[in-house]
Amino acid sequence: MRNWRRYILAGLCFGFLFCFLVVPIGLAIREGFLDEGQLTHKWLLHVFQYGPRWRRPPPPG
Amino acid sequence: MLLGLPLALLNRYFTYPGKNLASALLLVPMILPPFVGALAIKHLLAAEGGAVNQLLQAIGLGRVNWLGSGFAGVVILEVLHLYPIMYLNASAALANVDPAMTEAARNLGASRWQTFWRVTLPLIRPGLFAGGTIVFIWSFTELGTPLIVNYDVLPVKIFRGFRELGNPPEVFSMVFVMLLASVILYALGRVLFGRAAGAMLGRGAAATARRAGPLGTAGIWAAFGLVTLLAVMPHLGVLLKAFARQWGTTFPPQAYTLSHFKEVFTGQSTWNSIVNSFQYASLATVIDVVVGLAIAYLVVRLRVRGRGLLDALAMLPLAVPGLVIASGYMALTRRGGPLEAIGPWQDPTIILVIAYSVRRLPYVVRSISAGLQQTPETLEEAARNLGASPLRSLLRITVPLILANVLAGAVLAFSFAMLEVSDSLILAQTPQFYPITKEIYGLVDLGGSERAAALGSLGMLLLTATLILANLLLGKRLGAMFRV
Repeated sequence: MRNWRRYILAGLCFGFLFCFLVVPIGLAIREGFLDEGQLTHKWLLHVFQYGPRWRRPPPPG
Repeated sequence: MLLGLPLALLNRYFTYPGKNLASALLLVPMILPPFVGALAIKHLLAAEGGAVNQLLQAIGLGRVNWLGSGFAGVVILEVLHLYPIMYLNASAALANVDPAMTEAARNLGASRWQTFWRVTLPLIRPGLFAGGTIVFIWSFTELGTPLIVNYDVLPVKIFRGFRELGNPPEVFSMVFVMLLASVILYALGRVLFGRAAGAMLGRGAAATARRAGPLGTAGIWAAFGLVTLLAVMPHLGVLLKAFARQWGTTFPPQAYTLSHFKEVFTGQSTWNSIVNSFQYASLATVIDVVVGLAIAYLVVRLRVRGRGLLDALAMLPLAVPGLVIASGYMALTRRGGPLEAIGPWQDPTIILVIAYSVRRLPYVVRSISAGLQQTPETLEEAARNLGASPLRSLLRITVPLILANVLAGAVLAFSFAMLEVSDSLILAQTPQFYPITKEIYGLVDLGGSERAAALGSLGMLLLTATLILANLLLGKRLGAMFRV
C-alpha cells in the first residue's frame, strides 16, 4: 500500500478513537471540574467529604 | 484469589482424567452476566425459604441472614463471576515458573510448603497482582449487580445521579474518582511488578506435573465441580425463576409454566427491547469488524509510525471502566449541546451503537491481530507480485486466511453488546429505545422479576451459544483474550 494511503487509513482510525473514546473521557473529566463555566475542584472535595454513601446533601457554597 | 489460586495450583502440578474439561467448566461463570444472576440470588440466599438456608436446616444447622444489607450478595456474585480471571492469570504465571527454581529449593532441603511460600509465590506475584487488579477494577466499577441487589455503591450513585439530576457536575466528579482509582491501581501494578516479572520468571522450561491417583483425581474433580456448581448456582436460579409459576418462599418452586417466556415474546416493551438490542449489537459489530480490521492491519502488517499509540488507544476501553466512557457520552450529548438529538433523552440509537462498538473493539482487534500474526506475509507478497492491488490482496488472500479470527471477534463483540450493562443503563433513558439489559432492570424495578428472569435466560442462552461458536472458531486462543 502506498504511503499516503496507509497514513489516511491510520488517520481515520485515530480519528475514530479520538472522537469516540478520548474526547468523551476528557469531557467526562472536565465536567466534574466545572461550576457555571468556571474551573473548580469543589465538587471533587464534595465527593471525598461525603464518600460513596453520599446521600445528596445540599451543594457546597 | 482464595478460589482461583488453589485450583490453578492443582491444575499445574497434577495430571488427571478430564483435566481440560474441568478447566473449561471453571470458566463458564465468567461468560454469564452477573447482574442476571442477581435476580435469583435474593431467592437462593433469602433468610426465609432460601435454598441455602433450607439445606443448612436439613443438616441441622441454623439459618443465616446471608444478604444482610445487600453487601454480601454483591460480594458473593462478584466472587463467583470473577474468580476465573484470577484462575487464568495464576495458571499463566505458574506455567512460566522455571521448574529448576523449585527443584533447586527442594534439593537444598526446603519442604513443599517452604518451596511454595519462598520460591513459587514470589515468582507468580506479578501474575496474581495483574489478575487482582482486573478483578478489583471490575468489581469497583460494576453497576448491574449492586443495582439489582439494591445496594448503594459509587456506580449506583452515578447511575441514579444521571437519571434523577440530569448532568450535574457532582456526578462527573464521582466518575473522575472512579477513573482515578482505576488508573492508580493499574499504574501501581505496572510500577511494582511490571519490570520484576521478566527478571524472575524462567524461560519456557518443561512443565513437571504428577499423575494423580484415583483418590487424588476424585478430590480434584470434587474441588473443581464444587466451585463450578457454586458459580452457576445464581444462573440456575434465574432459570428456575423464569420457569416458576410464582416463586414464593419455597424451594424449589411448586409449579412451573412457560407463560413468562410467552409474555416476553408477546409483550410490546420486552419484544421491542430484543429487537433494539439486536439492531444495536449488529450495527456495533459491523463497525467493530471494519475498524478492528483496519487497526490490526495497520499495526501488524503496514507497521505505520505511531502504531504503538494506535494499538494502545484501541486497547484503552479494556482499562477504562465502562461507566466512565458512558458518562463521557452523556457529557458529549448533554442537553442544550449540539449533539442533544442523539442523546439519551431523545433517540440514543447512534450513541448506543458507538458506545457498544468502542467498548468491544479491543476483542476484535486482538482476535484479528492474532490471525494476522499467524498468517505468513509471503502469501500476500506473492499476490502483489502477480499484479493484485493492495486492496485486492487484502480481500482475496488475507481476509479469507484470517476469517475464523474475524468471525470469532465479531461473535464475541455481538454477544457482549447484546448484554452490555453500563452503557445501556446510562445511555438509554427513553423506554421505546431500551435494550434488553435496561428492560430487565425496568421490569425488576416494577416488580416483574419473573419476566425479567425469562428475558435474562434468553440472554444467557444467546451468550452461551455464541461463545461455544467462538470457541469452535478460535479453539484454545479464546482463553488468551481474557488474560492479562
